[in-house]
Amino acid sequence: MKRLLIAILLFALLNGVVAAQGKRSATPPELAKLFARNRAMLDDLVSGSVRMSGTSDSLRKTESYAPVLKSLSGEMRAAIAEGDAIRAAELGRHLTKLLDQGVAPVLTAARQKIAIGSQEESKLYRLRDQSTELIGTLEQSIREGENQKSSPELRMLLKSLEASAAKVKKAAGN
Amino acid sequence: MKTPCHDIRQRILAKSDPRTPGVRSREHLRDCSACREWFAGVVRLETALVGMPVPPSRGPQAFVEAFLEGKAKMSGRATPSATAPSLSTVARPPVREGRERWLRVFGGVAASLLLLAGIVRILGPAKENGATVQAPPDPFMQRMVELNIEIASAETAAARLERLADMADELDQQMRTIAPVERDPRNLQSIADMYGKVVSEGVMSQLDDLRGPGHNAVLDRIASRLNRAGQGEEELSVDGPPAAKEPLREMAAVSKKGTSKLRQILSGRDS
Repeated sequence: MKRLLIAILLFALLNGVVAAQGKRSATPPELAKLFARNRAMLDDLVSGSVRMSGTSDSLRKTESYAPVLKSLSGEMRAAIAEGDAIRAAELGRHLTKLLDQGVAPVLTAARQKIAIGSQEESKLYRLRDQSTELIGTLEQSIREGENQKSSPELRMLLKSLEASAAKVKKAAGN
Repeated sequence: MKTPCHDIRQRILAKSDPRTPGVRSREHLRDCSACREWFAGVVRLETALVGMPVPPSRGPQAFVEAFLEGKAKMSGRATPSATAPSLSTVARPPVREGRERWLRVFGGVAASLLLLAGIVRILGPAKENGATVQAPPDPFMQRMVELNIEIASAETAAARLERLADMADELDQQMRTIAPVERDPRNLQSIADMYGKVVSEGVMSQLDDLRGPGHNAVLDRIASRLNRAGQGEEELSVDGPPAAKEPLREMAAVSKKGTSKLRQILSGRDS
């Protein structure tokens, strides 16, 4: 009896430990798979970071975001189309983070330096519009994905994207 | 009105020492031969158990089992002749064995169910906030996003250089982590290409803005990091898996070149 009780307690404890772990970290084979899957986006992200490090000009910094935002939103749309809400949400977190903490502050800095009516200003608006268009397309993809409508991840993502779009518009002004 | 035998027996068994019944129980035992016989059995059992060389934990168990046995008798599953069993029968009565068997079966089933639940939780798809999680998030991607944001907000060349060196370290670490399990050389080559871009185009392009003794500390730090990474990459390119050898050799060469350039600047030999 005692052994059975110990076995039950042990498994209950193990169950509890596993449940408490919540987010488990990826194993090396999983990391390899994730890298292979995200390789194109990572390449754009690294290239963009290197390009951005070579300049202190805010407008050029903003320009370096265009390829990575494009590839991220493309992957997100593919994930939504495949019904992979978890991946779409994960990529969405990266995208909104880049928009909120990368693009928006750089646009704000650029806005402060650019004269009204200048050529740079139209460039700034073009970059703003590119970002908001990407977000708009994503929002549409999420809304159109009928089978995803009930997904809490995508509902949350939609809200985050709307908030990010508002931040980007506000940062660029007008 | 006469108190039912069942209630009296319960009262007796509820006492810390069933051998000393209360006034009402004693009165009942005086009038009821069946209960008297049952009580004699209880007394014999208690006395024998106290004197028996058994582990302490058997005492309460024997008491519980005697109680269970009593209940079985009350419900008519035991014959009247069995109400005063011998000591050997008390030690392993058939009723007790049956109950123990059921307890074992119940325990076994409970343990199996818990084990199954544990296995399903470990191996099956995990749930997070009510949603199915197919795979853990990519920590490497997350770190690259963070570093990109840090580079965007870095206001000085030194700060940008430090963040680029962090990015190089992350790529180096990623290579070491997945090289032993990655069989597709294209993925490993891709890491080597990114590493080359960060070090050759990123780190090296910052150096023009960082000449002079004021920046020696940061340059020295970056040189040490690159040197350490290069040594590790070189070692792994010899002992590592075949698919990783060439990409690692490239990374080691990039690190070596970067270290050498930084040391030249630090020693003032670079023009």
